[in-house]
This record gives sequence, structure tokens and C-alpha cells, in this order.
Amino acid sequence: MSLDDRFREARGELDHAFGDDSRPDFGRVRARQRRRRAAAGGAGALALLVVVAVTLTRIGGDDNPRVSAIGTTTEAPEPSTTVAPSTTTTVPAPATTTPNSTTPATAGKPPAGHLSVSGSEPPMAVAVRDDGTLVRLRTDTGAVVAAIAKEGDPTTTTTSAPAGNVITDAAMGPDGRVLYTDCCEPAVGNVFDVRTNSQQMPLEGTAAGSASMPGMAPAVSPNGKYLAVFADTNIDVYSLATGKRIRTIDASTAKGLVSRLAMSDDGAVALQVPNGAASAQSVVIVLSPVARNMSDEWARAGWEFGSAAHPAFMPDARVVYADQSEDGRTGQKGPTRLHLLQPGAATIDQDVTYDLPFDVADIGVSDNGWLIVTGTDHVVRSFDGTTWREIARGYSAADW
Amino acid sequence: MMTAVGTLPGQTDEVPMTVAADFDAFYTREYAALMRLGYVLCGSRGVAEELVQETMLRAFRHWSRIADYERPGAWARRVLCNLATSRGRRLTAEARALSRMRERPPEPALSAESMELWNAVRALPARQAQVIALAYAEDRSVADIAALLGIAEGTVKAVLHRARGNLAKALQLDDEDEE
Repeated sequence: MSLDDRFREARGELDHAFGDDSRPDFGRVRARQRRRRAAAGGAGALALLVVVAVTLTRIGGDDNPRVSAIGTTTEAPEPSTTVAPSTTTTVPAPATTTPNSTTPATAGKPPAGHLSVSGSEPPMAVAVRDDGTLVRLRTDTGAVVAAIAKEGDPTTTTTSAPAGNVITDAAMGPDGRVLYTDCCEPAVGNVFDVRTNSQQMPLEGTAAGSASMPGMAPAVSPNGKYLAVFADTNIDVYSLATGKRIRTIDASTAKGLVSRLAMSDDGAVALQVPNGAASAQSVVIVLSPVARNMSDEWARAGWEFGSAAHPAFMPDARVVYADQSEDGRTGQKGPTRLHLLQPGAATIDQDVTYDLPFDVADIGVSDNGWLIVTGTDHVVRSFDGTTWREIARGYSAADW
Repeated sequence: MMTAVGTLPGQTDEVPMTVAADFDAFYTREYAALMRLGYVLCGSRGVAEELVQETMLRAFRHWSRIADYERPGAWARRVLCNLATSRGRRLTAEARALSRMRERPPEPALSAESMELWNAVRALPARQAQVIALAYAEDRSVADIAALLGIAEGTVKAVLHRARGNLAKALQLDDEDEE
């Protein structure tokens, strides 16, 4: 059958499926629009009241004077990919929120689509500087407190580290424990524990004195109990208290290498893998807390015209990730938004932000729900669900 | 100056009866065709309805001006194509998310072959998908498509040729254009 034959048949079916009888009364269309506008106006007014209340509360007892809620709006801004973020930027709430979204965050479970942030911004973070140095940062000033590990400089062709490796990723637990991976010898990298003077972690399965414990994309659960690493074709989950490997997930059926991992407090694992259709696109898959292989899938984010990437678990077990669309031309990336995925029986996936003026390179979550987001512009920013604040420039990854 | 002498059901804006009647005829004439176009571009009846109704509401708001156009339907199609590009993706994602929470409106009963074909059209770059949709879901000529999308006829031919080639490759079909 030729292409034209296929079109003729498909056109006939289309005409049959969308006949004139499918047309609603235009009065109903207009009435529906009026109801939506009224709902949006009510939601906007309530959101404004909430913001005023929050602002007044902060003025009265400011526990975090560096971050101020300026306001929210339910009107979608025009997408912008060229404007550099200001030091403090307010991101409006999604326009299509559920009725719960107008409930103040203090009223119980946070509304879907919003971060569940409590308390103030964490004072310290770890970050990988562009010259390859792993440092501790003060988040209020962006000042480096200490350089805690150094391998090769990725900006130079010759590296000073003995193995020629460079630090690629870092994870920090709530107790301040820092883990990092390097690349690329041996094949996939190493996992180090800064607390043990940059020696490799004494994890089960690691031969004493061996050159490496292969692993990539380390992820520490928000409560600091678990570590997940990707090694070879497996995802290994360790107890950080004992160093024992408590579970191995066979990821050999994934469509490509796992490039990012996230670990939840209850044992669920989120991973970023290629979507299998286009090499530049990826999906985020959430595996259940008892998963032993890729078939124990709880949720999946990603679609045919875009990428889901950089998953991280919130303390309430939801997954925040970066969703990047294509702009209509093959291979051309469009704007990025942060999304929230709530895995489980009633999986919900919603926008947290509108189009961001930068692309996301890394996302970390603190144990009280604050996000630390590193952009491909090498800027580290904090985000509490409303306000973006620049922490420092010149970094490729960060966590807290 | 407009005089309110009658309104459509549920309508409160002051629109002359004759203008309203014109719009009513336009709405009746174009709705199904725009739904077909919206569905081909978005792949969801619910999303297509959203986009077509938004298009119609815009047309209604500016009807006193649009009614003077030689082809108001062309204006509506251009608006629909733009909406499908700018908002279709978001609405489709929302529809997917909501479908997990509530019953999804029934999708049209198309054969597997038709679904495969329209899915392949939607996988094309946006401009190629628009040109294909107008050419084959609406039987529009190259000149028509060019006027409608505001691009040169030569561009339409080139885009159509590339799109057909991509589709033939994706569907492993013969493309007579290549012969």
C-alpha cells in the first residue's frame, strides 16, 4: 500500500469519527470559559492572600531574611530562554492547579504540583567546581568553606590526578557525609567517602585495597540511610550505616546506561535512562521499594517529544525532575520546566515551574525539601517552590 | 457602533444579531473540520476540543474584524496550528496526568493503521506535521496551505516532500513522490 492510499483511508475514518454531531453548543463553550475565568480569579485572589500572610509572617519573625516571597500569579508568563535569571526570581504557580493548590501549605499535605518545603534554606552545600574541585559552600554567601577533594581539572587536557580522573558527581547526606564519583578509569568510576579521607567507601563487595568500587551516579536518600549506585548493569542499594549491600536491581533491560539515580527514604529508586527512541532524550523511571529488576516499575516520566531527567526524591517520596521539550525541530531542545511525579497507585505528574530561563544540569534536595539546582550555565541556585536565589557561579553539580 | 438586538444562547456580550448569526454559521460550518485538524496535530480528542474551542472563542471575540476577512476559516486554522504548537504539548501532558485520576473522554475509533499513520505525522517536526495535516486531513492545495500558513508555495512543496519522505521511511511505505 502506498502512502497516498494510507492517507485516503485514514482521512475517511477521520471524517467519520469527527462528524458535525460532535459540535457542542457555543453557549456552553462560552459558559465553560466564564467558569474557568472565575475559578482562576478566585484562585489568584486566594493565592495573593496567602502570599501576603506569608510575607507578614516573615516580616514579624524572619527566620530566613535572604529569601522573600514577592508574589504569585496564576497567569502564565511568556516563555523566555534568553533572559538571565536575576539573583532572586519569583516563579508563578502553575495556572492549571487543582482546587487543593490554593490551600495554604500549613494546612496539611502539600498540594500536588508544589514542593513540600519546611524550615529555612540549608546553610551548607557541596558542589563540584568547574576546575574539578569538590568544595563545601556557604549557601548564603556562596563562599567556599573548604576544598574537600581534588582530582583532575576537566578544563585542561592534562590532568594532575594520578589516574587522570575528574570528579563528576557528589551527594551529601543530612549528617554532612559526602560521597562523590569520578570518571573515567576504570570503566565507570569510583565511589569515595570524604569522611574517610577520600578513600573508597568500605562497602560490601569492595575488595580491601582494590583500586575501585565501580559505581556511578551516587544517590543518598533524604534521611541518609541508603546509598544507590549504578555499577555495570546493576543498581546496588547499600545501607550507609553498615556498608552492607541490601539489594541489587538488575537494570540490564534498560534502554541504555543509567545516567542519574535517586533514592527515597522508603527504598524506591528513580533512574534516568535513554528513552530508546532518540539518543538525546531520556526518561525517568521510578522503581518500587522492592524492585529487583526493571519490571517493578511504579511510574515513568518522559514523552516522545522531550526528555525527563535529573530525578531527585522529595522527603515526602515525590520525585522532582527536569522536563525538557523539543521546540519542533529535530534535535533542538526547548525550554525546561521542573515537574513533580507522585509515584504509586494514583501517579500524578504536574508542573512545578513554568519555562525556566536556563537548562538544568543537576538537582539536589535537602532533608527539608529545598532544591539546589545547577544549570548548564554553571550557576547554582536554590529554590523553595516559589523563589529562585543564586548561590554561586562556576559549578557543574551541587547537593545539600 | 454595535447595537445589542439579540444574543446566542448563554451569551452576554453585546453583539448584533446579524453578526452573531454569521458567527453561528461559521461555527457550525467549521467546527468538525477544525476538530479533525486539531486531532491530527495533537492526537487527543480532549486536547483537540480545548484548542478548537479556544480558537472559536478568539474568533468570536474578534468577529467584527474577522467576519470581513475573505476566508475566516483560514484565520482559524492558522490560530489552531499555532495553538497546537504552543499549547498542545502542555495540554497533552495534562490530559495524560488527569487520565490517571479520572475517566478520559473517549478517543475516536480509528483503525490501527490510521492511528499509526497519524502518530507518525505527529512525530514529524511541527511545520511538516502542519503541512501534512492540512494537505491530507483537509485536502488543501499547496497554494491554500501557503496562504494559510503565511509561507511561500515553494516552501510548502519542499516541506511536503520532506515530510512525505520521512513518513514513508517511518512507515516503510512506497512514496509515489519519490518515483
